[in-house]
Amino acid sequence: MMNWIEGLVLLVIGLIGLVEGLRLIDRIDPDAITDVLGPGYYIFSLGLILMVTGIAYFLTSYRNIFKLKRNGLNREMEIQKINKAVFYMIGVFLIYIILIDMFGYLGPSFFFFLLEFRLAGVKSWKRNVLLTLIVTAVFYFVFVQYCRIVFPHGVLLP
Amino acid sequence: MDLLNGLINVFSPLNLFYCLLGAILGTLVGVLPGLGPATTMAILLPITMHLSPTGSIIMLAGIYYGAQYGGSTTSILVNIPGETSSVPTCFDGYPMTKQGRAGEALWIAAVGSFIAGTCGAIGISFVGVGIATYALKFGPSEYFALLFFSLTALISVSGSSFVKGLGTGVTGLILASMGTDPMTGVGRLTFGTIGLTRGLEIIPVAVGLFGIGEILINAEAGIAKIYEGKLGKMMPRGRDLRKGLVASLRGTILGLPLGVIPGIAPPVASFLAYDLEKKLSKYPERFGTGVIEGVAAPEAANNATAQTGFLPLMAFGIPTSPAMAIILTALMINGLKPGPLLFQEQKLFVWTVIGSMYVGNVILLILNLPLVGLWARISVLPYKYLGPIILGVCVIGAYSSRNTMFDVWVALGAGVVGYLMRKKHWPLGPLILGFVLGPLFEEALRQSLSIGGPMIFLRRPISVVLLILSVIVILTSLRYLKRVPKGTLEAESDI
Repeated sequence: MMNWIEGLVLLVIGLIGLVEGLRLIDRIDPDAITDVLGPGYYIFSLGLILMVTGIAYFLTSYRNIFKLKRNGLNREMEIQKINKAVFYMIGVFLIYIILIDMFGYLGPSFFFFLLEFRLAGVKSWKRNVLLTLIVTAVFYFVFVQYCRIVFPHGVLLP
Repeated sequence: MDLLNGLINVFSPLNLFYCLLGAILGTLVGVLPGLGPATTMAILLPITMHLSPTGSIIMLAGIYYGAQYGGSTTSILVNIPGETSSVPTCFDGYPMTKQGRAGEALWIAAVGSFIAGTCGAIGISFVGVGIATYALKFGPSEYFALLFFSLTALISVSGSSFVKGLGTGVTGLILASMGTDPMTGVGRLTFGTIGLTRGLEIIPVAVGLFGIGEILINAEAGIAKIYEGKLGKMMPRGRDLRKGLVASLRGTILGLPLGVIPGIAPPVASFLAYDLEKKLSKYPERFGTGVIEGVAAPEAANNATAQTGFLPLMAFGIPTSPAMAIILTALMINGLKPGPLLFQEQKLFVWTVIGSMYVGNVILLILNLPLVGLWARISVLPYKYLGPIILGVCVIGAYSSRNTMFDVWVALGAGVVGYLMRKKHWPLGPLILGFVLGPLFEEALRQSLSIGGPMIFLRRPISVVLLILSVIVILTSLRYLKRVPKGTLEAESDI
């Protein structure tokens, strides 16, 4: 199943390249440009190579599965589960980016570190809050004040 | 004379500081399992924009070859390789520790690394200028053939599947073409968005793929056990000393030429060196039980390869590994175009960087011998404290390149992709290399075809040779790499 998805991803990306290449080949007047290849043929070729690679991937995956079965190694493929904590970390990251746009850097960073430390395994809330305060303060003073990186001020706060 | 000027410049307080910082960070990165040099360099890449070009390259180079030194410490002491290139060191290093000979193993690993690193720096000093001068003869067709060879070589040796390597490499080339076409000004793969009109920036992609992706994958990792034993005497004596030094020299000789070949990153060289040492030994059955040659050879080879990897980067602008691709990005960010003209127009910069390798190797020897106990303790720093801090740095790094939250979204997306690729053992090297080299690759191809059509690649001898080499690499590389365990290739492809 996972091999299907991996091969499909290659095919989809290849198809996007192919379609975009065709669009550009159609759009650009070849007499108006000096280089032979133009912007379209290059990306069309890459898309085609990727689609062929995707098909090759399907074929090699099925060949490997067939070999295993033929050798009597009928064991199931190990399915690598994705740890829940990783999902939550990505989710927290996502919300953090949205919150920076809405509220600026400082507040969302506090909650980001608080939740990420918790998800990473810092179980004690006291230690977590202390660590978060220190890390947020250090980041703010080093990067925002000293390095003068200008983050969004936030649309919901003045 | 140029080298002398470079060495004098290295000893300026600021450059010496960056050399020391790179060496310390590199050793730390090498000691910490799960944090590779490419990841660290990608995370620190945005910071280099605020440093001088010389300082930033000295620091990044120090991290790269420093990590090869540090990776042996945990391999030897707790049987956990700090870097993929230190996997073979575990085979005999840990048994030596169990025999109470940890000090000897650490000593020969550090000294062997020093010998190899210094030989590598000497190699670059004497060969680099010649290669750069020869590179002046390269036109667009030769550059295209060289880039094609580099990408093909990396794809062929990345991971255990050529198809996966090809898929990620071509994907990298497609991602690099996003944005506005430099020759005609039309938008490509922009999907009507303003953010994509400017194309994808390398810093958020590198920070995401290597930084965020690495943190996500390591969120599932456990804590290493603490080494509480004694190190024993440090320096081996008599026959052990002689055998160790000879193995170091052999590893160095093997590793030096391998470093210039794209795709042969230090992990592959260290495994080949171990394999060679076992074959040449009168007592191959003793390998794996604690023979000093089993530690000396791979450690020397990985350092030699790391050092000479700078040659194609500086002379041609061709990175041989993902970590080199990060250094190439740092050079480009600082307005330096690597290639033959760099040796002519930026002499002081080039020779200062080369000079810093000599100084860096001495610093690393000093750091890795007396302070080895400290590094062993640091190696068990729990990831639960380190991970979120690195994620925070990744956000800053991704944002600061263009001051837009769009790049932070790109970094997150790249991070998720990097995580999934690591889970499913899809190689990252071809992806980042394809992305970094994509614009050069396309430019060289289009210029070549405009000058002489498709036959130009067959009329120019250098491009013919490189294209034939590419075919040979595809056909033969996997045959030799069957000696390298599949798991190691897959682990190496993750960095």
